[in-house]
Amino acid sequence: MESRTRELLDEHMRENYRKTSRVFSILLAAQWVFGILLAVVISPRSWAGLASATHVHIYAAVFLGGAITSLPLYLTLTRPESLATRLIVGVAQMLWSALLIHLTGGRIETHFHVFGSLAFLAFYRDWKVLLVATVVVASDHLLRGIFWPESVYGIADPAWWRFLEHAAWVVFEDVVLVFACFRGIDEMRSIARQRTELEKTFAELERTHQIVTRTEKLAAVGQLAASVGHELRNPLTAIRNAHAYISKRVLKSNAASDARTVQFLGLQEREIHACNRIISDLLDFARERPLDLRPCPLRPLIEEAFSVVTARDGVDLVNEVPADLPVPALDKDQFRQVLVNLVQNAVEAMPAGRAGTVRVSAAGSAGDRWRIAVIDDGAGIAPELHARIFEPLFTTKSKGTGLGLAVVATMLKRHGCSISVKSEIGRGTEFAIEIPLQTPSAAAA
Amino acid sequence: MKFRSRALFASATAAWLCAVFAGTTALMRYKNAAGAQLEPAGRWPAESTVARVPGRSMLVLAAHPHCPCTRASLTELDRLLVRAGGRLQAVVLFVKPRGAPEGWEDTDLWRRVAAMPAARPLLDVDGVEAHRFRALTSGQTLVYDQEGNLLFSGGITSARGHEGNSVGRGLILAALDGARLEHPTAPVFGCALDSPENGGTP
Amino acid sequence: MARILLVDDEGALRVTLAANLELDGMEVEEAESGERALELLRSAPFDLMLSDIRMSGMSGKELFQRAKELRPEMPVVLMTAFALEDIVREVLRNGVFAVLPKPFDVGHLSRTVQRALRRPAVLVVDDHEDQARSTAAALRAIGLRVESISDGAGALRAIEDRPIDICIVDLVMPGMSGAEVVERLRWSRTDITAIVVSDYVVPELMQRAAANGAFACLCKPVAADELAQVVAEARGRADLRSAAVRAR
Repeated sequence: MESRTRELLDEHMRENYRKTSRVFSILLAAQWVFGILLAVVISPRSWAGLASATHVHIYAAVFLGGAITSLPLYLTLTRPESLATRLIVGVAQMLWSALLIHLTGGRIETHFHVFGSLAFLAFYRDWKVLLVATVVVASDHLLRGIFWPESVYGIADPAWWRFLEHAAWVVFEDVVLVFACFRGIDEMRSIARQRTELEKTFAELERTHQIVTRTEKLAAVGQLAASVGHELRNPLTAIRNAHAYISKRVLKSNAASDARTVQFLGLQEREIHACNRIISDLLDFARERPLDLRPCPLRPLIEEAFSVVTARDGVDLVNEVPADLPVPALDKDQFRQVLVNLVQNAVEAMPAGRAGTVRVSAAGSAGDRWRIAVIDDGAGIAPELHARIFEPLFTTKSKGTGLGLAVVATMLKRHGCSISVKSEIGRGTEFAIEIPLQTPSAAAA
Repeated sequence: MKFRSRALFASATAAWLCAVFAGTTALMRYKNAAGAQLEPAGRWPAESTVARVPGRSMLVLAAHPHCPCTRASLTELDRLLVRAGGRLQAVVLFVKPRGAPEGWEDTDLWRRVAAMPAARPLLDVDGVEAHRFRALTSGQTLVYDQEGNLLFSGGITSARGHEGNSVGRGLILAALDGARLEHPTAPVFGCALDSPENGGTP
Repeated sequence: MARILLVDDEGALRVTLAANLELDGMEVEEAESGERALELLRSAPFDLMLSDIRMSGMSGKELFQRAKELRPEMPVVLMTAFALEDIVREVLRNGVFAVLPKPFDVGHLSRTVQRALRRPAVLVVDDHEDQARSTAAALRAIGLRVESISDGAGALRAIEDRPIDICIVDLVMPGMSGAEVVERLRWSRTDITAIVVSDYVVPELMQRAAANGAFACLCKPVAADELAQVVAEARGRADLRSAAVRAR
């Protein structure tokens, strides 16, 4: 977050430099025009008797003034943010003070331009600019004091401390302005900090909003799925009943000799069963079944799960759960569903044509964590998908609702269990379920 | 910044600084270039027709009516007269060269002097009086005491067309207070009173 | 011939189901609402009532309660398309014979109905006689037919001559343990479902019981209505294996 604050601060300061440079580009140009006007109005010609020539002030205003303005004007227009621009502007502005003082014949009032310029330069909020400007003023004073002392002090031999008197006023203003610069920068820093906080908060808000939207969508889908699923059950039952009746009657009659009739009756039954399976998947996912925790021996449970799973040729189901494993407390129906889904997944993960094994093992004891693992040597799951496979409606298969593993995740969560996946493409996958500490008697109580 | 453009930028800045410095120095030298000054006579010129006011020290200032730098001298004159507090009476000789058109001398400078209480403008045709007082440059100031002795001869500005405290002012005031000064003179900054063909340098 | 009262407000379902049951040799009387069903119940005796839970008008649950008042001896089987968990749980605990989720296999329904028609009893086996008796009494109050016995050997003899379909066995018993009883039951009669109850977890015995097809293991103390629920669940459970075989 600190780096972002610095970024924002730098941005803000660069913007400030740009804006101030733009002001100075106008000011420097205006001063040049003004200087020329002054010379033209006040001192256009110098005389010798009747003869006159263009006053040096005109040349000074046009050429010296133009020279002073040239480089800084160019820089403020092309490189408004750079340090060099600021420093050169500082130098030029103070030189303009001097020139204007000369053009107005040393009027006291024009000397105010010096202090006004320093204040303007402070808009850059950069102490270096003030330093350079002050150096210019000081050197001008110093050099003229050395070479043309009368022009500075009005007397031939000024006391050494006269220089300090003039310097003191400038330093006084400098101190105030530098202080103001740092204050300004502090304010900008705290603004940058606040903006960073705001950005962070907005990002979080955006994330939360997305999560909420997704959750709401899922809930809506779940509700829709549930109501559709429920609605479908009655018609499906009626179809099933009718099919059963027709099947029984037809198989007893002459039509049984027609191979297709028999085949299609079987087909009807299977497809009805498939419909049923899909609806059950949907409803299992949306359903909130309360847990009936009872002591549940694992090895027989896995045997039951194996008996439900649609087996495949060449895929062996191996129950490696030791028979003497202690008995955890689980909701038998729901846990069986979890195992069925995982084993079914493992069976389907076996690539076609290859033989494979699905192993289920378990370990643990009362007073310790239980661990059930479903291991297959099938196609494996890519690492980037590991987090997504438990998402509802996510599937890599061409058929299927994508709810199998989501149901597993939901049911396990309700049990307070966790599930993790380890996989290598081409080598196989291992799903590991961790059942937390509990004793059956405590759970059943 | 690439190396080439960096070098270019550095040289541009250096050139700029040089130009500016040169320009400023040239301006300074012009501003501090003193005008021509002659060694004055020690007493009020006898042939002068300028009226003297008895009981007062006299200040004579030679001025070119159009010289812009003389504005500063007049400002200083005003201040000086105020500081002198009635001890000084000033006469400003506005030199009108031969051949100048009608009303050439009627400038804001003339009107300004006319408005000053302790000073009066005087038209000096062809610079005759200025010549008597040995003034060559606009702004040349001469101060004489009541007996007619010269107290001061020089300029009362610190630089050309520059108002503000000057060496001349200090010397004049000191002299009025009675100090005996070794070299009561100061550089004069201003336009030449005479045209170039007569020796004047603008 | 058994007389069955079939109640469902879904016409198609009712008609097709009735036809299937008649094919199995039962006499079916149809009612399209709970009110109509009660009318019929009042006027004539039935051997069994088969009803949907969710109906417009009177619900299946209410119908069941009213029928229980009218004809306490008549077994009731309920069906449900909607997962009304709380209601299902409630009726299971109140002595309904079984609840079948739709869509069900017609053969399974038929088998369940026939089982119910035999009016089977639950046998409670516990070496603590008073416990066995009190459990039995509690279950009877809910409306089940219950018998009790205090040893495993006696249980095996009892099932020979009486219509028993559920055996609630205490796991730890002197002589023949509950696990052994379950094992022996499995080999003698396959239509009996065992439910094991135990004071504390004895892993080895539980494994053995579960391996021999025990429907559930419960930890004592078990409330009577929870026990009734498990009994009804056992009675309504489809044979998983056969369902899977048919799916292939």
